[in-house]
Amino acid sequence: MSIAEKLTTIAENEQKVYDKGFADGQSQGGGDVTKNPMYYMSVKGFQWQGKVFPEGFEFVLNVLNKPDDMNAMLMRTTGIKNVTLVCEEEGTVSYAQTLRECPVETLDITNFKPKPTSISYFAYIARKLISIYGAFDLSQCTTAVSSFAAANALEDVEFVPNTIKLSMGFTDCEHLTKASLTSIINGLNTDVTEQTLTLSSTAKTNAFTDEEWATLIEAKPNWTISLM
Amino acid sequence: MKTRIILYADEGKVLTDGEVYGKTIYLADGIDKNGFREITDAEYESIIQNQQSEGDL
Repeated sequence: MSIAEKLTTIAENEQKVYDKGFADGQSQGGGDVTKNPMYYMSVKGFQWQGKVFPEGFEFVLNVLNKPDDMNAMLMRTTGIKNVTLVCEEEGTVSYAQTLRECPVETLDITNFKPKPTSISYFAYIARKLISIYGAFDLSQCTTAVSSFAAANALEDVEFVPNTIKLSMGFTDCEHLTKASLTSIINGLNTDVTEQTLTLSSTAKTNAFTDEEWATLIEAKPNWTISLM
Repeated sequence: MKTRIILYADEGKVLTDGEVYGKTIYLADGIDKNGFREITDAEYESIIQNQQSEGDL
């Protein structure tokens, strides 16, 4: 074999070795990298809408700088079981449709500092969502349409007192605990007018005696409170 | 103690003023009860379906 032929053979073998290594790495690493959720994030920013995650996935987003927005961030994803958001940077960010139609069961925002400017459709049709850890501060929120509509399994939610300034509805949340309902009522801002809180009649009846309920809402005479 | 006006819908009905919907409504101070009327449960469900079919931002 001439030197030229040997060099050609080496080059061909090198390519074959590379191709085999790439194929092995791809199959062992979980498939086509362009279908990998983290690859998608790297080119699309904080956006995984519609992506397929492994069943039971623990989604943790820990960032130094707050996202520009979290609109539809995990909307219509599959596989996600628990979500933890961590960000120490203060400021505001939209939470619109963040968990819309997401199969998440728990959300932890205990260490997520940015305050929501919008929670419209935040957990809309998040039918498996049970617990939210950490309190929502809605003092900067300007829209809250259908935030928890069809979040049928929700039990635990918390709000910073006196920060809810917009009409909100929890009609479908029949399993809200007494603590959650109390937090919602205490969350109602005492200065706004013409706003309405709608709750599940079942949740309210399960949680409070008539006397407890009357005492609780007495502190918020500026709110219309509706039970469905 | 201040008295709050409470409205109760009849069986199979929902109270509304066009924006607020409820079977039992604890009115805020200054809200006129005469602004509320009853609609049927079916009418209410239809309204909610239409409202929630919107919302893709």
